[in-house]
Amino acid sequence: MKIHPIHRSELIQFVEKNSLENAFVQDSFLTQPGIEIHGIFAKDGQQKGFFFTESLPRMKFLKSVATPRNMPNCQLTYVCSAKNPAKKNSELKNVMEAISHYVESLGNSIVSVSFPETWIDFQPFVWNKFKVTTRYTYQLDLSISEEELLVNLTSERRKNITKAQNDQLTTKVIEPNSVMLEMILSTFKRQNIPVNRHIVEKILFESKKENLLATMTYDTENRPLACNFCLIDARKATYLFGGYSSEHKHEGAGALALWRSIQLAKKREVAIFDFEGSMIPQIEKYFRGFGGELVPFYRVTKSSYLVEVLLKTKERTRF
Amino acid sequence: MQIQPISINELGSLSTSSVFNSKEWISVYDEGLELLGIHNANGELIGCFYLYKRKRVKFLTQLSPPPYTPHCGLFYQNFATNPAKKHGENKKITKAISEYLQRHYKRSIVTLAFPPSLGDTQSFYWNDFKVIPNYTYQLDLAHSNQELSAQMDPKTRNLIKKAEKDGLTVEKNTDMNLVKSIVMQTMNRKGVTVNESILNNILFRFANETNSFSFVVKQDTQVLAITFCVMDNQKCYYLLGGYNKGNSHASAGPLGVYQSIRFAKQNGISIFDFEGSMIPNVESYFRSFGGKLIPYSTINKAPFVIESLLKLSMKQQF
Repeated sequence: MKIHPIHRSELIQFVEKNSLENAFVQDSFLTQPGIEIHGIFAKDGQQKGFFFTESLPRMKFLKSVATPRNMPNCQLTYVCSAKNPAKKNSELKNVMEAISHYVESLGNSIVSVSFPETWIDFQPFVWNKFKVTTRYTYQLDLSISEEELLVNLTSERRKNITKAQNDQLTTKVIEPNSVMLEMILSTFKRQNIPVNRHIVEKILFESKKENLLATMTYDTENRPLACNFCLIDARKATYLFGGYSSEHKHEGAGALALWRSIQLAKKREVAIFDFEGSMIPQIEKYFRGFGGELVPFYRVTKSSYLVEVLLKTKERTRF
Repeated sequence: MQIQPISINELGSLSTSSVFNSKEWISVYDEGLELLGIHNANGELIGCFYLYKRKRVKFLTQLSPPPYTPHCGLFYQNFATNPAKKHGENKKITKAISEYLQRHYKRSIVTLAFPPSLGDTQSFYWNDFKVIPNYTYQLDLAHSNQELSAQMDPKTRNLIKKAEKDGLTVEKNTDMNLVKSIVMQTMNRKGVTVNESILNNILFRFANETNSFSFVVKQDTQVLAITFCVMDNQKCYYLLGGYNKGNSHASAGPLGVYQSIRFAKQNGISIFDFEGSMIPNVESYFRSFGGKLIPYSTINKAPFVIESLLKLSMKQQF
């Protein structure tokens, strides 16, 4: 198994050849500065998969190979040939082993990459002295009826939505616009989460329309209150950004926008609605209220001993 | 939610069916085990888990699962039906455990494993524990014998066929001295320290026809390999195994394991668990039986300086 950087055109060719659906495989994500595309190849040279990383500076003097910003994970995709369960486990283990050596060989001082929740075998990383840590996201199974989805909400979240509806708030499907952009950016700012305006702009305005799901909640005077932006493909809708107006507030506006997105994703016959990571306590509690399943995914981390001890002072759960 | 030490007799009020939560199993540990109860707001006992304490470099205590037990035996009843409420309850319990560990064992090394059924470890993460997956392989015994055989790596399947051709036999074993002898030999060869007193308790005090079984593989009258499994109504755990180096045969181990799998299936057990597979050679052997890789969570934490020191030899854990 071999891994090496590939060009965007090679990736697109591979995705089309294998009829793979992934909303993150598009120019609005792949042309962001620092994004690197890596191809996975079998011994005979045939491409079998891909994943993405981003090179990012850390603490001014360090460089890291990381999960691309605004992607929940590295989007590792692999077309497995084995059918026999034991052989399949072995083939997937070989993929992970190859990736563990490859990311280390990229020469960055820190490796910190998250993987899709469908990948569970990280033993080759453990054996290669990576730290593998568990992270979580909430996912809603959209195969159940809308009534069941509603029943699964917490009473608090249901009250939020009912109050918004009783107060005659409306939610519209919109095309991302500058109001949405400013709402998202100011929400990040209020939460002290650093964000790159250019990247958010690119995702909002340059993503393919068929992959977008954007909703905005308005009050009775048609003033925008809260918004929701999701990326959608044939399998999954992924919540990416949300925001609310600091000027005109309503406790149910955000929940209504999100609930509308869930309803729309279901209408498009998508199997899963993914809340895209829920590791911050307040955010986790908010997303938990929508009644999804807590789904683990894994992050691998490695650096030199001294750098790890240094970083441990700040991020003990990671280093 | 409150965590408090409980006596072994209090376990009777819990509806756990796991062999690792049975009085008989917990009694295997004469010392070092702290049995803890999880009590709800009304003071009712709704769950349990245990900690095993070992001394490390004279002045440090390490908390871990007891030897020969794959995890800390966490069990609790969650009566919530609404998914969000259920998650809320799970979080309350893990938060209580996490706070108990912080309060009572702040200066200890914590390396605790939880059963695969624990799906939510965020409370530990939020309390600065490192949450790291470990793995086991599990076989779903709902499959037919033919399907179980087809799932195996062809090499392992061929080894089992070869065992039959070479005249190897496999039979039920009730001689626990034989299990002990072969297991001790195997562990010594691998340089693994054996807690003989606990091993004795498992083989000679705990083991009976209802909770465990053993198979021996022979060629003529020579003992080649042995297996020892413990079980409850749902799962069978491959706990101990070994082979006789003086009379080795590549097919003996696979034949013993395969017979153990078939026996578990015959006894109506749904899952055969290989009970942890984190050592590369052992993992590849277990993988060849075609089971599903199942992650389970471990939590790891020690005082900062100790963690930094442990990182020198166990970077993947600290």
